[in-house]
Amino acid sequence: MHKFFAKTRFIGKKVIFLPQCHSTNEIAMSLVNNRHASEGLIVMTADQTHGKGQRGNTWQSDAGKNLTYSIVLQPRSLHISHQFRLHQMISLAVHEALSPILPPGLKVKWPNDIYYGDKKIGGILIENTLRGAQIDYAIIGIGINVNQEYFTLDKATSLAKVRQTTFDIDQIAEDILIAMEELYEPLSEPLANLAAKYEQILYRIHETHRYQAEGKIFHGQITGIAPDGKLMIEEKGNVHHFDFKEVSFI
Amino acid sequence: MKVKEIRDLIDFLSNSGLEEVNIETEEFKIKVKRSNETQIIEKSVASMPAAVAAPAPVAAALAPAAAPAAAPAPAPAANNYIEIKSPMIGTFYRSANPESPEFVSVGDKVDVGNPVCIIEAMKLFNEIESEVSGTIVKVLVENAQPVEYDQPLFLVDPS
Repeated sequence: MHKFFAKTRFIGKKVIFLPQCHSTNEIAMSLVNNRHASEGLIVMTADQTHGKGQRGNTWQSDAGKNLTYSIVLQPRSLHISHQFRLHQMISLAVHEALSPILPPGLKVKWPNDIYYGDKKIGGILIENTLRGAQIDYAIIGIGINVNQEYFTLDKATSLAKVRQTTFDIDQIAEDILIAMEELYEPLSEPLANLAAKYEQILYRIHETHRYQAEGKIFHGQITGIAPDGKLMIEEKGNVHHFDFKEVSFI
Repeated sequence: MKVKEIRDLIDFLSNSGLEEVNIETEEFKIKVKRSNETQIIEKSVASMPAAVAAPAPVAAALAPAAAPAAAPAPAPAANNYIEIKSPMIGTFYRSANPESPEFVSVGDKVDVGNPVCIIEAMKLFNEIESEVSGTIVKVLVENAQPVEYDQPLFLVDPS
């Protein structure tokens, strides 16, 4: 069921497929730390038992039903102050690959969740190793709910649930990689384009919704993403910048 | 990919306690499976060198590094100590995830390139490597606390 990816140029020319593992990011990170990884290496699994959402949050996935893989990149010219471009690039790649097979409604929830409507259909986890102020390696973990039909969480969905049909997981994996390669190379350039494209697919942008910050609930509108990756929300004419932990979507 | 590279890779993956590993490139496919008695097997597409089909029997997962004895902190005449500073604004974490051991503790030796902590910002997790060799003398920030750009995180005794 696995294969190396024939249609890409440099990503996925070496694939380590693990029928089961704790977390593909964890394996990829230990390969990087032990000098066994080079750019384009993919660690993929059919059954991720302890997938990391963010610290402590695990990603619920039935064996063999979903896409879970990690890609090793070396965006060496990328300064850490621009690292949010990685989120933007990967989110866009996932969006470009999935939107042709879904009805309209696929969005990116800042900073790194993939939503269909108001439900989570995928997530991205990026872990970097740094050398000084430059990114040395970036480990891009991607999880997409593909053929899983039942979720204990109300706020989760899958491609199969949305479309009422099953999908070829390897094909989706490859489509994402192809889109990623297209966006990857200009990453070191000051890409207004990348930020603008990310905003176009941003969940809830320019809509009024409720948010919570500093223990207070307010109505606001997302206006965009600051260059440092912070979420900008306008409330009564004032634009506030939020780090991930400083604001929650309600 | 050279035979030695493949061997090293398989040894490494075996040590991580995985049940089965399949590696595939344009040139070859290889499958390594752990079982009670033997573990190995193989499948080569092109002319896979035979040497690769016989990785050494897999030892148990690596024993976790022994917990460092809490070294007595040297007297605070900190003159010669080197600071490891945060390269960015974010949240400081001492381990890769909540279940993992801390990267380093007081008394641990670090070498250039050893990971010492994670700084997270906007859900991008950055593993910070030491740029000096020496012994960790002091951890200056508590786990899960915000840090500023250039804020000292660790004191290292380079001697």
